[in-house]
Amino acid sequence: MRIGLEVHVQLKTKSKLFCNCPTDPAEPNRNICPICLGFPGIRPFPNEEAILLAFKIAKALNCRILERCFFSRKSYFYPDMPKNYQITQYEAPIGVDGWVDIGKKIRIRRVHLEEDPARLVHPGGIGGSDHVLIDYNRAGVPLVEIVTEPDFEDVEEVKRFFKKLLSILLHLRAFDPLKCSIRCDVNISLGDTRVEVKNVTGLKHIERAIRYEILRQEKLLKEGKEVKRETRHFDEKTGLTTSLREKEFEDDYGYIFDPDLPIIEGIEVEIPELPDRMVERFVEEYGLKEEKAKAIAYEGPDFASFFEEVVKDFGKPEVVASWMLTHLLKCLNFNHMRLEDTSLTPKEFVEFLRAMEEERISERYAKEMIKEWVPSGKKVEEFLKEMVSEEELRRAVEEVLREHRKAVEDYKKGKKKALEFLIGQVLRRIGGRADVKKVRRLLEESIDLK
Amino acid sequence: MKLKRLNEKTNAFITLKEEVEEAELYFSIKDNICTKDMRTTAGSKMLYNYHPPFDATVVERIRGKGEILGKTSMDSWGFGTFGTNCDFGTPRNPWDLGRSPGGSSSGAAIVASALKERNVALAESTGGSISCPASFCNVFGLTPTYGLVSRWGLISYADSLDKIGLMARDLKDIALVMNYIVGGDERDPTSYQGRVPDYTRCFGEIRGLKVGVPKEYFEHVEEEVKEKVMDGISLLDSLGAEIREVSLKLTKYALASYYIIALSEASTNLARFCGLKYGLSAEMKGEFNEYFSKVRGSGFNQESKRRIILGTFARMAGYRGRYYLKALKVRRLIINEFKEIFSRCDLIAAPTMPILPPKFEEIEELEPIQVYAMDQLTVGPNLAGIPMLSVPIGFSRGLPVGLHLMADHFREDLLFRVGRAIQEHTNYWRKVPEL
Repeated sequence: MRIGLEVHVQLKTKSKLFCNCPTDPAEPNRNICPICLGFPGIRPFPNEEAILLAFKIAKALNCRILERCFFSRKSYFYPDMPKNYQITQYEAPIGVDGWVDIGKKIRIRRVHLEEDPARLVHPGGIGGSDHVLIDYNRAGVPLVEIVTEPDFEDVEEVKRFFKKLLSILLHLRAFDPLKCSIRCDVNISLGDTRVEVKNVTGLKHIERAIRYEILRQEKLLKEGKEVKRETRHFDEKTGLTTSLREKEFEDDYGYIFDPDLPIIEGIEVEIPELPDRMVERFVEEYGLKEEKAKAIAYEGPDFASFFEEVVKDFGKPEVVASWMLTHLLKCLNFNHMRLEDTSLTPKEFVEFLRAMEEERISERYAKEMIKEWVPSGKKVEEFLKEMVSEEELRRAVEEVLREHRKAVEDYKKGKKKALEFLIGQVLRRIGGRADVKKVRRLLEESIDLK
Repeated sequence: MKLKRLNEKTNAFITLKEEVEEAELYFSIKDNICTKDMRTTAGSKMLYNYHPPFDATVVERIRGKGEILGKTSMDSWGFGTFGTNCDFGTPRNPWDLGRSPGGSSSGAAIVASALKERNVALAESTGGSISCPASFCNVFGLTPTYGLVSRWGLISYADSLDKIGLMARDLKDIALVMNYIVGGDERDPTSYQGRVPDYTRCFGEIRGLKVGVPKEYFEHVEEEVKEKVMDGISLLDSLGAEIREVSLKLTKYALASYYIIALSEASTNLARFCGLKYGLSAEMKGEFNEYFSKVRGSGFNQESKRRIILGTFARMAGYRGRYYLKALKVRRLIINEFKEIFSRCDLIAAPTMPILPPKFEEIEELEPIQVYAMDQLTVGPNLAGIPMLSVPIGFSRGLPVGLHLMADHFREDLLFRVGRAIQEHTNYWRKVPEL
């Protein structure tokens, strides 16, 4: 089996590729201007930020950067294209002949920059509605297209590739997982015939589309039927692919150079430390297990540098990694937030870990606290204020000991379980706002004194 | 001013401004240059009611410098040599209403020539659309270096060739208005950002200037035209210019290269006129391709369809290498050839058009390829992107003849210098047709 991908990544830029319209999500047809609508008489002007990001991506994917590259016009008539041609790159893309290491090398054929067409909305699904709505907000958003060779042999490799690609894009600050989308054309051939599944959006659906398409082709081959060379559509609702059109010839887009846009000289760009190198360093420097190092690095540069800042101050990389990867990350994901969107600082996180270490808060409380803390932006100090005072805690212990003499006796006779009961009683009284270890210690001390 | 009467006789305007105030200087604007207060049709029915939401940069830059008269007629999309492909009435030559005023900037030349008041026409050239009508109508026509004038707001024919330029009876007025419209524009990344001279000061001695006369540019030229052009060259000689014969051997390839490149680009530019966002609209029936085809079938005239089909063909897989890519290579060679001449000469002088303005009946007899061949002397310099100036150089049988001066990139100063010298020693340019 051979699988090849054409990945379209929306870049994280302030404005569109050839005009000043913002790329932020908005009500339909708000982020538009004569340029991205292709008015007669307009000229595109290239967005340097997007060009720079494309060069960085090409470099990070180990591509050869061409000395000069340029934009071309790809012509075809479709209602999502304001000009009925797309400004893209053809003969001279930004980079060629790269690779990504996912345990094996996946070859990258080319990396190029292009403009996104408008978004078509089919209110009742494709084929199910009598009209189509067009949202031009997307028209002109910068896309980087990454074309791989057909080097994937199963869906797991595709998943590993996307994980790696995503982490690289995050480290280049080229992609915003909350605002930008990844779309993909997948070419799958089990036998000799290549089938293309067009325009699948999002990693989850890309995986589903591949799994289904493999099953479909396997079944046809097993039954001795022919797999047709065609382009198929993936339906997100049903999880099935359906035939869009049979493909006897390659599409003919009649490419010409775009004479409105100047030639781009290849630029030498600086790229930051990439995830692979970072993982090595984390293992080496902090003694982290590779899995944990990977998990941190793949979350992106802000998450990783947050980790490093906290460790610099607090030490104990394993503890920091555990707290960040389990509780902090879970909470961020639950709230659809990225660490960089919160007001959380490494200093505060250190304060938080320290409070736990010093038994000013219990672990159980800490886990609850983080859920409220992360999205609200409340200060750690405020949470600490809510913890019971030493005095209050001692009073609660005294009261519990007085009220449950039987349990105290049991404990003295050697029934260890009785102490657990007493701890529970104290915590109930103070609403959990104290560290368990501390409660245990106080109880033991008090009983011993009696 | 008898604008309405002029328009009735010559069809110079597609849209006339309703009220025109008295002014020292008037402007006319070719109808493929966007104006936010006047419809902009590019000479095509497809855009008969298109009101751009913005002014072209050149329009912005002339506002307040004089009164705008209206939008001048043109072959639709710039597709034509004789003005006979305009969807809003065929413009007529003011020197003989039965003859062509030249195209595609037909109306621009008519107004510049026939309106007695001092006026400058904003025009545009892709392959000769300024030089040709300037020559046929007896006015100066300047096509600047590619990129010297911003194209923001110009409805594209072929973006690698389109240049906004000027026409006027008096070259001094062209110099004045050039000063207004040149200068970099961030809205057009192909526009020239460098320094430019004050064109009104570009005049003086031409003694010692080396003027190349390419023999290939006289090969298929009518005798009467040749005579007048040679008179013009003799004048330059008498003023002290050094005249020398040169050779532009690639001239015979220019026409094919030009039409392939221009039409390939044009066919992509016109793709947006499909009735979805731009162009006419029709009843939405069937799938989108049927709808697009219906709109395009009825909105484009025959010549537009011919050029779209030719241009699409030249860039399709299997033909792209043989036509489009090869034409680009030829273009590079043509540029080099001009560059080589300009390493030895300051200017090139030749006839602007190979013929006198033809009668409409004569044009009807011509095959499309014969019409295209009329551009043989203008497409070369247009492909090279060098500046050129058509200068009124006399009349034959009462019809104007133009001398074509060409210079190296960004050497408009030389064109003005020689043009002004000719202006001082001749009187043809002062003539105004009686209508």
